[in-house]
Amino acid sequence: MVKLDDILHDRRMTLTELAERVGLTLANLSILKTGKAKAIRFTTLAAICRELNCQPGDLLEYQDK
Amino acid sequence: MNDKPNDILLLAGKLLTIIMQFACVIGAAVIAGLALLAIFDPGWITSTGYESSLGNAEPIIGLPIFFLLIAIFLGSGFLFFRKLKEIIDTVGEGNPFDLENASRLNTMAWLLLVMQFLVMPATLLGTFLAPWINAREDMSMTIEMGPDVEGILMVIILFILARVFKHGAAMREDLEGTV
Repeated sequence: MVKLDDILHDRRMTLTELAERVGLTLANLSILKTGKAKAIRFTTLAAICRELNCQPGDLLEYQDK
Repeated sequence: MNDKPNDILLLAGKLLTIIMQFACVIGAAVIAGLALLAIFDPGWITSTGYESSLGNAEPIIGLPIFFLLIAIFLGSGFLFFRKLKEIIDTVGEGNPFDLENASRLNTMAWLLLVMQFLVMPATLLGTFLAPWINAREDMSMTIEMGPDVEGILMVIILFILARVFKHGAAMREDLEGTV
């Protein structure tokens, strides 16, 4: 599970803004936000953490379905 | 990288496949015409100075079979170039690595294999028909014997390429959904 919504809300940042900052398209970032992504590159994860000033664990949570 | 040379390449490839398909259709039309001529004007078969010891069996039996082999050969060729054009179209769309193309390459390999297998009986029939053809002034024939190494190599290459594209399609599918 990707907890991007919560962190974006805390940082007062929109998805569009984050997409521009990390160099990802809005479409791809939406895929990540909605949990439809199959995989995430380390470079993408690092860029998001850099821009949101957070740790990977703040973004990702494992849920047993 | 400048895409323009690639566009010219794709255009040339498409044009060539269309020309080859057209050539196969023309070839089939010629064969059909000759077949009709043989049916409606049997004198065309026997009107030579050729003295057959087999009662004109060479053209009467050999020609229909020869025409059938050529028709299958041309049909296979037509399908081969149609598949190739479909692959070229996907390259132009920027989406060549899918299972459809793997399937097309596989089909192309089988079609080429069929064409390779047709060459031997056609050649043997050609030698059977040669005395009758030689007796005619309106026909001539050249027979080339020997294995077509390039053709066999092409069959192998196409089968391998089909597997490459199958793996490529699987890798592409894995990549989709990666951010």
